[in-house]
Amino acid sequence: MRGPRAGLALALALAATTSVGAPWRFGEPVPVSPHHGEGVFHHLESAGRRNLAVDAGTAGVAWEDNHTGTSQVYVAFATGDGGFDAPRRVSRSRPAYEPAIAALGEGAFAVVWEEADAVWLRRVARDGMGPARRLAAPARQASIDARGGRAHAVWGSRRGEHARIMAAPVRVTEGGMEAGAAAAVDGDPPAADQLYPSVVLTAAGVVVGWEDRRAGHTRIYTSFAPRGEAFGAARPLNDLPPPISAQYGAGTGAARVALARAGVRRVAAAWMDKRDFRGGYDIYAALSGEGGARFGPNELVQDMFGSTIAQWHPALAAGPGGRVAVVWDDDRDRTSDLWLSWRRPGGWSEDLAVPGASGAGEQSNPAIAIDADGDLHVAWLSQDEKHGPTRLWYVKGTVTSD
Amino acid sequence: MSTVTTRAASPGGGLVLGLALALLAGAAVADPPAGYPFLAYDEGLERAQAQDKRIFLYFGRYGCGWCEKTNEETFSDPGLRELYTEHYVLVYVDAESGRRLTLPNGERITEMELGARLNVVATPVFAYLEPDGTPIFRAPGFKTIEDFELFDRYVRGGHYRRQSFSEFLSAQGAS
Repeated sequence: MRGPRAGLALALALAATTSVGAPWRFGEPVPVSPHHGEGVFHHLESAGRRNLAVDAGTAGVAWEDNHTGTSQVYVAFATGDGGFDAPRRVSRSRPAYEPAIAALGEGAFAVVWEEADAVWLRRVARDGMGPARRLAAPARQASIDARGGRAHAVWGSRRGEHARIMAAPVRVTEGGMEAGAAAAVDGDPPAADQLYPSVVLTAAGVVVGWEDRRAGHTRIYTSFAPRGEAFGAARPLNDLPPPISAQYGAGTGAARVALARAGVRRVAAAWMDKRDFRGGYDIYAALSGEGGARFGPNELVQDMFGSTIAQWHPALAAGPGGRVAVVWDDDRDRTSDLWLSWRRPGGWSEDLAVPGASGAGEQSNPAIAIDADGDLHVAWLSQDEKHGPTRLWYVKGTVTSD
Repeated sequence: MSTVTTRAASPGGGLVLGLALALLAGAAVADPPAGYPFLAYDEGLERAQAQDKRIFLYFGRYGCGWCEKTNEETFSDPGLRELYTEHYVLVYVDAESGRRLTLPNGERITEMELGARLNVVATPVFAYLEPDGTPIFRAPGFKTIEDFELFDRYVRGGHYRRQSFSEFLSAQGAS
């Protein structure tokens, strides 16, 4: 086909996968796991929504599903020719949940997950896996980050009256992976539960964010440890609206904070926020140029078309040049779809439906990562109908602009 | 007052939107009203089926002001307490929680995920379910004693099988 028709056909084809102004052009979605069907449920869920990581352009996805009859944790890697290799079971034998994955470099990844009321750690690569190491018990809600030969794991310890967020450096050894001494990210004993931590390493140090209930409602707190030093005082991250009652209620809710490294000392945070409770959760973000020691003002991520409905499951990623993206699901178009916004000068972009992850059926629970080239990797769950069996998908967005 | 009946069927036809919660002892949770035998969802669904009783489901949030107002101004009423304790299995869900529950179809999800699936955008949300977990009726927001007495008549009277809640209200001469 040549001439104007060819040009029109090409333009239409491009428009199907590229939204005007979007910095990525998306390919075709591919399935991550071959296991699906009646009674099979996948979950892309972890503290910090760290279910996808990329190393040297290879995406690794960690998830939990029950296709064997019990919930187990799996990892699969993109093959480079448009598909994924066979899933590897990472968990041991007891029901396991909520895995988080980080790229260690040289094709290796670190995975943490929850199993038998403990948190576990394992090195996983395409050519094999190291032994599983128990990080802590009783513990839940683990997450992990890695950068430049360093890695740090976080989890919620349940030793005392209240859950407490702990952090530990982890390193690769000949025998697999080992953790250093664990430290509480908040020096004060918890007055209430600390939950769902997220962690990021930068050249400046380590920053951890989590849900904290000390104020009688759930807020997002962060704590920062300069390299080689202990964690400092915990700081609240989410702003609060004026109280709606002098008598009732401690405050609005915020949940499921995710952190991402956006530069040498630049950190992004995103979370679900109910300060405008009438429309359900909104997605808010904040940026730090100090490695997470301090954050700038809260920023509303989703656009006005999402303001009257609830946003769920925000996933955050950042990449070269400080590009920051958030993907979540909401049903503004009557079915659950994935929506994408990225930060640009002056604020956040208009929300764009992720091609291939919107339209018919239910699309939800995204996990995302931006690689060293600036490409955006997205994994998510789909269902033909609400509450039906799930399938796990992946799509890559190739960067088109700076 | 709004009425939203949410029903979901598994591909196998065996699942309705009933949920089972695993009660997690010892953790700080959103607060159900005092003096009521609220259960976790797993246990509640099991008991409802054993006793063939409908379920009264209360979605709350840690620090929720409207929940607290409802607890203090409405659920504190002894008559309402007796009415609901006698006729329903009472179940409480923390809409932010990561505690896991098991759906009748075997899927394990968290309490917050349950809220996402039921589109619980604000709390409190009150729902009435059949003993097998099939949703009957749902009412969001602060409610008075009279509201809950009206809902109870609508549900236990079986009117929901024939009328929407609006139609029931009109027939009652209420507004």
